[in-house]
Amino acid sequence: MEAASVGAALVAARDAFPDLRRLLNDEEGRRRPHVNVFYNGVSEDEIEDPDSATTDRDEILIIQAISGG
Amino acid sequence: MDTRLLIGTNTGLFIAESDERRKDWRISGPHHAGWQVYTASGHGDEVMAALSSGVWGPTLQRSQDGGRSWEPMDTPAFPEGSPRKLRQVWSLANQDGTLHAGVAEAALFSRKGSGAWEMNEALESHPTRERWLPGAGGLCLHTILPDRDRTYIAISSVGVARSDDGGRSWELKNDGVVAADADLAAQFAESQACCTHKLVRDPANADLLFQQNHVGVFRSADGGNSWERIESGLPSFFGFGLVMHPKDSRTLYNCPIVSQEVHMVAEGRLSLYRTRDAGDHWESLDRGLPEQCFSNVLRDSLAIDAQDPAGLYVGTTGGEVFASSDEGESWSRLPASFARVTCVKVAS
Repeated sequence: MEAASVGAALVAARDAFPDLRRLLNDEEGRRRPHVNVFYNGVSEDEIEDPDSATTDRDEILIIQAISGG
Repeated sequence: MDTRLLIGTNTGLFIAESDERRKDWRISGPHHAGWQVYTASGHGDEVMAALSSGVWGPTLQRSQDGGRSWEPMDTPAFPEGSPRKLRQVWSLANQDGTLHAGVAEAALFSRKGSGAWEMNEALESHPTRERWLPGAGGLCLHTILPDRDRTYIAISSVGVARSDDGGRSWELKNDGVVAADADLAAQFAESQACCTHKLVRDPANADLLFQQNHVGVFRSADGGNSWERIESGLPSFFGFGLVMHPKDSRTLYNCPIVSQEVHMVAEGRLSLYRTRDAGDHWESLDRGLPEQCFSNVLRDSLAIDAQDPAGLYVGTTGGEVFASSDEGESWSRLPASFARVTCVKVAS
């Protein structure tokens, strides 16, 4: 996946796979409460500069909450 | 002719196949392990499943090869700014190339071919819409009976709605659906709610309807304009599932449940009830079914096939599925222990 900026990468990730946007975000665009998305280990809610440039080794992690037991 | 069952559970979809004797079953799955499957439909090699997850929300999946591989489908969505949320897809119905989806919260979506989903605006803007209340399963539009001239839908806990103009307007058809118990009747009257659990229609007579309701079992011979109670022989008026015999609209089957407080099969044993006279009398069918059972049978976990003799299928929240190849006279258990069964559908 290629994107010029961190913010663009987070958008492109949701468009890269069929239906992924609907799995990560509800119909109002809010991220579902039990899903977190990290960019190089930083929650996407805490990214200070979404316009910063990407590098070849950047990593996006999608993590669901684990509960129960 | 082979029979294929789509068994939805809390932990995925299972597909059970048998030859025309419907005695020995091969079971594949789980497909979509970990997802709840509240409805599914199958025609030929095409299988559709409505999935939901507490983490990922609701979504539709389709297989074109009998369940060997799957791809996500476009999922209905409320328009931007709508106060409603898509909680779950509860029902799917095909009509001449148009796919209908009934969802919670109380909406009907339709798409022609591979076109976009369109929400039924007349239902959304129904004059009574703002007082609709959810049942225990949410505001679920669980039954769609489409027809060119007349379409019925059923919503918990709104009741039956009828459209005679292709979905451009809807009229609620709940007159006469009243609890026999005065306190229960007063509760429903106060909230103006009507909790239809399942609705069936005679395919040859659009006026003849039957419903399993929260407050009883009812019949209408006039397209829902009036309803009469039909519970003679039933151990309980409460229940969820109801199916009609494919060739005899006077023959129906249901599964009585103890009460609104106790969602467990009536009398502590799994027993289906059959009427052969359009509800005037009901008789128990339990040969081969467990004598002790303390599970529930949900609204879409009772199914009937179109073979001769007709096959019946019932799934329990205890994770068992039973099949009858002789119209309910005798039963055998499918060779698997599933999770909570949320639907059993017969693929055509």
